Amino acid sequence: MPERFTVYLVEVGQAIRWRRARSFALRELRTHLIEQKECFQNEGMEEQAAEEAAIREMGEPEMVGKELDAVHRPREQWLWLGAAALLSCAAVFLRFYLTAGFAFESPQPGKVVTALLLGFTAMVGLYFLDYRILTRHTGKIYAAAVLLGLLTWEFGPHVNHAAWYTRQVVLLYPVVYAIWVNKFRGKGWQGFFLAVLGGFPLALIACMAPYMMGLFLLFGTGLVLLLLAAREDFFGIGRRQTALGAAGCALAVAAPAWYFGSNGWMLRHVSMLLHPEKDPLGYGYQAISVRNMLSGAVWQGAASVGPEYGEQTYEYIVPEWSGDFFLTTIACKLGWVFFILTALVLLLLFGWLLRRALGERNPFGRILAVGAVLPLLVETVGGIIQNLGYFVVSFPIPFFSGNLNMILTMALLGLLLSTMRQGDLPEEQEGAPRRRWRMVLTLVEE
Amino acid sequence: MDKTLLSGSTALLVLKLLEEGDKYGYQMIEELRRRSDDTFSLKAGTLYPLLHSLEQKGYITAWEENSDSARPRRYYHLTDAGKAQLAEKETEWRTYAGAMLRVLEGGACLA
Repeated sequence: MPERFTVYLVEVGQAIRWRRARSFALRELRTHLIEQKECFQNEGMEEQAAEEAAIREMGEPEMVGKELDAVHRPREQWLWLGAAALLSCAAVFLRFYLTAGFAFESPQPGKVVTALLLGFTAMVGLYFLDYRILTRHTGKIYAAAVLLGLLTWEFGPHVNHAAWYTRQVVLLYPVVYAIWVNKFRGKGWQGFFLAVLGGFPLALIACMAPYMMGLFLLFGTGLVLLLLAAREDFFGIGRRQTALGAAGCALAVAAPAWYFGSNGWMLRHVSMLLHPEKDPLGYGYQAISVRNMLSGAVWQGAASVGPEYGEQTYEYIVPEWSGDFFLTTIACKLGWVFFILTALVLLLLFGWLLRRALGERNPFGRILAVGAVLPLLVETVGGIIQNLGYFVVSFPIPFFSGNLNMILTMALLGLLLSTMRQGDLPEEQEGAPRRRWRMVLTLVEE
Repeated sequence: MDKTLLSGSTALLVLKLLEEGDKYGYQMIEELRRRSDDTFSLKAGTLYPLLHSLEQKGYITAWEENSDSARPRRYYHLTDAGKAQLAEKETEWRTYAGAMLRVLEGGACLA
């Protein structure tokens, strides 16, 4: 590029305060300058005169930069960041307050503070991350996710035949899958099938964990992502074809799973949803205990325990009362008002964020944001239903189900808010001359 | 020509150009100049911020052609929202221009 153009673009770049908007804005001006120069040369101008005329046509660099700067500002999401931080603190407070006096259930202060700090760091760090760079490392991210799942399964603790840390890793798989799907944009049918196939190793790890809820989240979110892809003809094979392909693949996976699952585990769990009384001391125990406790709950204040439980207290009746059934605990210890309030706050937060995610202009930003927030919303809805005594598989409640879950929730929110912050920026283009532009940007920095 | 006459209508002109098909910035400036017999000479420094602003409002979308990676062209495409905006602005402009002409030509007066 001619030196004159570099100097001009550096001046324009200096007026654009948001660094991430610079490279994209300057690249377009650069192409324009080169084309304009060639046009002038074709009209008979000397090279030097053509360069000067092209710059003159573009306008004063400072003014051009200021106009671009006014258009390209990050859309800060302080309100949502604050809301997430406040909610995590409120969740921690409630966990301490409602488990006080039960040493085995009460969170350990040191661990909770560490989790809060890690959660904040992850959320804020991911918020300021240029999420678009994830597209450059799709293979590495996918491989790392699979490897982490396998390592935690092999070496992590197994509680009740379940790999505990692997389950937490599986909760991140919907986002990993969103990044994976994006890799195959515009790659036709081959890309579509590779995108679908990428879900299988992740699903396999969810089955190994075993974590049916994680598998369900991955399957559901994956299907939604593929249908979103269909809406904009993501793979370049046609909208209807993509939608039919996604529905066909989902059916091909779900039908055999349902057929084999219906012989045992799945059938038992689904029947327990409707009739837990059929197995009151086995699969139905959790649902029955929750329903019995809730039947004694009042609008405000502690619930009364039914005579069938004798001298037993709530904490000894409902398993997992300080974890995945914490909303039941809120209803039974504080009253329905607080249950409804907590459920509403979570539903409104994730529902509104999903709406915003679906409205993202940047296609990668959109599927990444949906991949991050949809599982949180599904967990919340599933969690509320299970906490009302309709239990199939255990859903974690975002912010409330333990320290690691809180960190994961905050990290996912940070990633989601990052897409909203940079929603106006276009994606990084493959083949863009990054190295040369780094040089120009370095000059701008100086 | 007084540039201020053009400034309020640049968005309308850009949307109108894109109604006929996807175009990149340089192409739009040349097309505008040619079709207005050099009357509308738009500075690139004015056009690109305007294009980016229209893109943020959802009136246009952009896609990049990478056939020549050393010179990637960013094409702009008119969206359905952009078409609606164009129709609205065009009606506004025709009403305004008609009224202006009537006054300048000393035509009908409602007073």
